[in-house]
Amino acid sequence: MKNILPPRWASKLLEWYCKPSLYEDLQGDLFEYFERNLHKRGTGYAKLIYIIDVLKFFRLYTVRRRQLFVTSNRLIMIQSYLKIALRSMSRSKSYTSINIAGLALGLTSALFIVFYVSHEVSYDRFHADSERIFRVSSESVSEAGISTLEATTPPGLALLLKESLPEIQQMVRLMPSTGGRNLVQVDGKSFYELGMCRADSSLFDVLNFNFIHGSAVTALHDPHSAVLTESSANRYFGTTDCMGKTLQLEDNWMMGIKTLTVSAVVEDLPSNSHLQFTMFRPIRGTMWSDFADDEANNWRNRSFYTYVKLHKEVSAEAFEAKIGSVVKSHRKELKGHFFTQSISDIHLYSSLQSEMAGNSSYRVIFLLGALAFVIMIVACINYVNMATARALGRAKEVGIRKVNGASKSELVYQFIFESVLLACISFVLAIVFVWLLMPSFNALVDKNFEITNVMTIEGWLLIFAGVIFIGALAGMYPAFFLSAFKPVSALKGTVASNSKSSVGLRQSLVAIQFVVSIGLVIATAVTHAQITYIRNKDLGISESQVIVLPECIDEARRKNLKHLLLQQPFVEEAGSSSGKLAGNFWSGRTTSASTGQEIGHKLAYIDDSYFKAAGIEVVERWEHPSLPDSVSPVIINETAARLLGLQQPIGETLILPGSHTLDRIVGVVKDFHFSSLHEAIEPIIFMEKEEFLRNTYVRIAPDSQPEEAVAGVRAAWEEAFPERLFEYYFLDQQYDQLYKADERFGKMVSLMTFIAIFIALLGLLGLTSYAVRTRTKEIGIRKVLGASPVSILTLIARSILAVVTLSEIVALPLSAVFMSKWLDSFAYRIALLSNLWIFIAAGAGVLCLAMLAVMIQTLAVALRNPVESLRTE
Amino acid sequence: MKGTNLGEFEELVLLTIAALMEEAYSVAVCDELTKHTGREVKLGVVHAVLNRLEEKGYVKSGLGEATNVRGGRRKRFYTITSGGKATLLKAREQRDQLWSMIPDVVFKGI
Repeated sequence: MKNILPPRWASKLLEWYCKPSLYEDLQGDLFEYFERNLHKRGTGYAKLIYIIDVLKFFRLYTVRRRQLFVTSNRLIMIQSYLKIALRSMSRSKSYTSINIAGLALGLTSALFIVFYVSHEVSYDRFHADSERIFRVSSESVSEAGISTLEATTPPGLALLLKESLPEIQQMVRLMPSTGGRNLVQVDGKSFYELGMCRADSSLFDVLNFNFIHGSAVTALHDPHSAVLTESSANRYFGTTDCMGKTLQLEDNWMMGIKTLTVSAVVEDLPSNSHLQFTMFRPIRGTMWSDFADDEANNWRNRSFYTYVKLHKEVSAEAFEAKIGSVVKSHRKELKGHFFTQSISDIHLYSSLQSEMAGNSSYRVIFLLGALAFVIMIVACINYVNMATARALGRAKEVGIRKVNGASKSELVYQFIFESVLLACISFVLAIVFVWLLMPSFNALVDKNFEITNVMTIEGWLLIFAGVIFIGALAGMYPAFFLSAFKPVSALKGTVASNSKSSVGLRQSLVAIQFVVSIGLVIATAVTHAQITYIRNKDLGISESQVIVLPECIDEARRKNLKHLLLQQPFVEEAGSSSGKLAGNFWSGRTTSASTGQEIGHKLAYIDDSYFKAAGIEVVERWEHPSLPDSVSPVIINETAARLLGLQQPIGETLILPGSHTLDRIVGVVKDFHFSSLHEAIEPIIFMEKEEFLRNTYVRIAPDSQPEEAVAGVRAAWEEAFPERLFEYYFLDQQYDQLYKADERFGKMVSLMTFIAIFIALLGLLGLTSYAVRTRTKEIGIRKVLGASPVSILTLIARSILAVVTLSEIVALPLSAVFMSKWLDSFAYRIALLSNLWIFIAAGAGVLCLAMLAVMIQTLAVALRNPVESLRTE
Repeated sequence: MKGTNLGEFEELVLLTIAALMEEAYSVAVCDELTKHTGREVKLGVVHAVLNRLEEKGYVKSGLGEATNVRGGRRKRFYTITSGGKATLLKAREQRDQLWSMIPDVVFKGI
């Protein structure tokens, strides 16, 4: 019985956590109890009580303090670490600067991406209670059962919902100006207002606006009132202090000039909102007075955006279901349904028909985030690589420290401290870079970031914490690697930094870097090739040498303009259309009388000279058909003919679904691209009708100078529309605009690629220089024994180039798979197989660059006189 | 202020230490208290109180000689300090004063 002891692990546990000063007698006490229980109640019970007691004694006063900086000794050590770190940095300046530069570059690009991503993610979160604000969007179903998801809703919906659903705290409808721009006149000066929007007076209760003058209650009360934003007020009146002043607005909807009084001035909406309007007018009293339909009963006109703010604790799903049942009970005939979208999700997750602004996509954000992550990995790998490679240089230092009594953990702290310090220096440098490069970055992404307001304090602190974490993480491996040196062998110099495991690690890290870099190079090249392909693809239309004049209102004056234009020396032809090439067209549906096929199509009204002016090729034409007045002649494109199933389209009849309106096909035009090449060519129908022909296309002579031609066109415009501003653009420029987002994305990716490659090469440079330095003597001896410079070059370069080649073998097929996925998003794309040269060039290019980096470092040593290298040390 | 006040259990522990004189170590205090109060006193509680009393300066402690019991571990003996004595006396005085204020009738018939 004497030899029964308490459970060992429990004693150990007590020993581990207990303060040394309390440990002995506590252990004794517990033992005394243990023996007592042993006699009274037996072994099992005694052991159990012992364990329980050990656990129960885990208290604040018994536990030993283990904090890092509890002793002042630690503080002194930090000063010493700092000193050592600075000394070691200044001792090897090239190594330090390569390391800092690599990390700073990586951080700079990561920071920019973080700015961009956090801005994109923050869209419309600034509204008070933004989680309770939703947009109601709609699905409309055509006669043929084809459904379209639209951001817009009929005006009656919002009124019905507000009336019958108590869940809605407030509702507002927005109706942006049709046609995009309105002429504004202030004291005889003309402006174009690009962001006019009609809204219910409840606008300010749902969305956040800060008033400079005026108040939310009265702002949108009077039908003749206008709310200006700060920027539009400054534009029109030169001041925000313009309450009660008047302006003349040309109303596209009611057709006429209205005199409006400024009723409030609000601050501009932040750039992270999908709502970017600069002028508001009330809906009530400005739209329905002479409109045939009653507002609440209008369920056909889907051009209203409906936003609702729900009461607290109303779930969006339940609300959506209620919308469904309310609409069903009031509007049985309505096909399709309505659904809600959280206001903060619109920018990244919504891409419905007729969105207000070009929304972004979470995919882009995700891709950019991944890119930032990858670049940071490449930069961190660099750090780890170089620090481990340089370990031998500091082996003696570690040895001396150990002999003098440094513990392993202290050495680990020291090296991690150095690494964190380096990361912090890089961070400061990165902030300087960011500050310097901000203007170019803004130009690239078309935003207005400023370093002072791009992030909140919390955001910066978070980033700083991230930097420290990266520093610690990157320093981790070198720290443990260095501190594990045995003092004796370290001092003797027998520690091999080229030990198998560390070489293997370094090489696999280099391999990862190069897989990433090659992947990025290929991504950039493929993106570039695709964009070039799209830009150079034959659009089926002669889009150069065409000047476009938007906003030609009034048929008589437009005809006069055309007449005046044709008198100008360089003008060859002028023709007008209701739709904009590389812009927007109306949509419609039609059925072929003979085949019964129904198609959705684009629609435009044109005049007789439009095709020639815009450069659209007419394939077939039925000249001077004699048709009854009730039948309109139409011209279709080849795609429309194909989809309608018509072999001989001329003379065929088209029927507007659900009506008796008949059209007769009198012409076919060759397929041409009228929208972005992301989409396939859609069927389009043209009607010769002298109505709504707002866009005039002016073809100028091929040999004319653009400046002279524009001057002539301007003269004609000023005579025809003396009170309106002359605005024009070239058609080919308009087509280029379609790919701005692609191009921006491509630019961003290529910039990041460049940085990643640069960092990787920097790392390679550092590694080779290190490898060369440690082998100086070996190279000397080899040369003495007759090695040629070439064989020495191959000796050093062989292993590194093998790694690069290996990573190419991995990276090439991987990137091919990824890129072909990306290309699938285009209707017209390049084939990867016919662009194999990209892969070959990228692979060879990276290999050459790597070779060059190795060569630069090695050549000097390989050519050096062996006597010199043998004399080193 | 915390630290100047003496809790009920603290007072009991302090009294026990004074009573046990040279033999006051945690287990003995624990046993003694169990014997006199009739309620089971847990070692953990006593230990914590001893630690606190020492922090407050009412007792001081020192390790004794190693013996064969307790697996050879030394005991920590506690002795009351003059500050501890003063506090005990003061506590007693306060009680006496309060006792003397109670008229005899209050306890009549109990």
